[in-house]
Amino acid sequence: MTPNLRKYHRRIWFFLAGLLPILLVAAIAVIPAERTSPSTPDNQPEALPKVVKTASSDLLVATLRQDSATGERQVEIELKQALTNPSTLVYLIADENADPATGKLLGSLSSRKIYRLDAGKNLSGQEYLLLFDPITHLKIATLKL
Amino acid sequence: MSVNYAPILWNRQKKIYDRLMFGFMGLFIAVFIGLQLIFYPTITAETLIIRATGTLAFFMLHIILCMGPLTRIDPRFLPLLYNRRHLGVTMCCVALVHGVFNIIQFQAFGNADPLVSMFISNVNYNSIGRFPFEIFGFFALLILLLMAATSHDFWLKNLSPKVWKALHMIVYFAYAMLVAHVLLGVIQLEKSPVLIGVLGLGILTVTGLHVWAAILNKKQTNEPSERETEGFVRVCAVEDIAENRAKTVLIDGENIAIFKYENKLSAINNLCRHQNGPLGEGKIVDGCITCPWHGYQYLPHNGQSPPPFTEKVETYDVKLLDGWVYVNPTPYQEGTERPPCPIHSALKRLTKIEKSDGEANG
Repeated sequence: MTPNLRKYHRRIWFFLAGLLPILLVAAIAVIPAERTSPSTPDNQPEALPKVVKTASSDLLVATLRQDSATGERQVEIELKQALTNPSTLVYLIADENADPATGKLLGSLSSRKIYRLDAGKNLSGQEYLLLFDPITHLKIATLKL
Repeated sequence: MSVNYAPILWNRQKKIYDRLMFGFMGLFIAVFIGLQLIFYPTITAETLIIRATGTLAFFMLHIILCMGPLTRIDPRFLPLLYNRRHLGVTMCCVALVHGVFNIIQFQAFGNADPLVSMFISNVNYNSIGRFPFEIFGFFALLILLLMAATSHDFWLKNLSPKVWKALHMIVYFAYAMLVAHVLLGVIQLEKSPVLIGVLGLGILTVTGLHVWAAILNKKQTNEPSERETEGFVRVCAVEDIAENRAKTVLIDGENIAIFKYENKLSAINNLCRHQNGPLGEGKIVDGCITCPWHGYQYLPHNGQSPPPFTEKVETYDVKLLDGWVYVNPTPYQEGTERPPCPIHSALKRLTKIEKSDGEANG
């Protein structure tokens, strides 16, 4: 190796010897405390009998259903087109700009089909549906029920 | 070293080197797969391939990067360098399998082009923990592919050893990117203290060896400034050079190796014409200075490779005065014959007496 290349070589490694440990420490510091994707509730096999209201967008048709006898509610989602995100979670949130962490997780979506998700007995003022990608932390769509 | 073109100049040593390499790789993959099946019994074949090839390629890169400094710290490691290029190209092929399987598994089933998908599926470019780590791996793989593609002596000859060596130094940046790829990928997902420890140890080993070798090399670089008459510079006592070995010296940017052999001294340029290997760290074998890296040979008195080979290096004048070796750093044209400087037995006796007197007085 020529003396000049040897000199550059030495400088590069002195630089890397400083940079790489810093990177290691920084990466350890940002390791998330919990898993990115929470466990999601299962789909319900049957639709509840009463339709409370329906809303739609280019992406989906959402129907809020209810069982009058028990008071249980259900959000039925029919995807109009395939989602391009690898992972999509559905939340009920209070307003269009609310964070998913403040909302109620209903379930997850993948291929084009009808999903029936348990919404419990009380919506607690959370009337917006949020489709959220937990991997990229992107809000895919919101829809008012 | 060849006068005729052949894609690979196979010899017994290269075959042994490659067999050991493939044997190690096979063993590594077998042990890795065994451990994965024990700890992750439901693992799929695709994931197993991705993990095994990624881990193996990264481990091989660590070994490759450790070879250079190890040989500078201790010449006994020099045989490791002999076929390092085969190791590098093989490592690149393993990394390519890892990259291709990853792109198929994670990017190829969407409605965007898989390569485009890699850049747009995760856009957390302003976050450290959620940064799209695949991109670091992708660019590192491009560097490794470029290096593998230009690893052949065809490119070495056409680009010149200096440019080729400088080009191949970007592997250090590829290494830094791969460290980032692992830190922001598997370390974030698995959170395993064992993985963090192993990676930290790898970083420490590679950077530590390089820094150690660099410091050692700087200490060993002989840069005399005392100039004598007629442009000659005093280098060392004649006894300081071992038989069939050399003393290297850097004067006015000239990297010179002074060899002692058969009661003679000759000086040639220290840079081998093949890959700029350090000729002064080699030895004289069968009357020829032999490069420690790949065995290229030169005659000490004229800097020419023995026929039919055509490589040549610059030569220099050497003289001996009162037991001290002097060299004139003005180079003669490559391959110029210079008469070796004889080491007279009387002079050797004289220097021994002077030395013993000095020791007695001291």
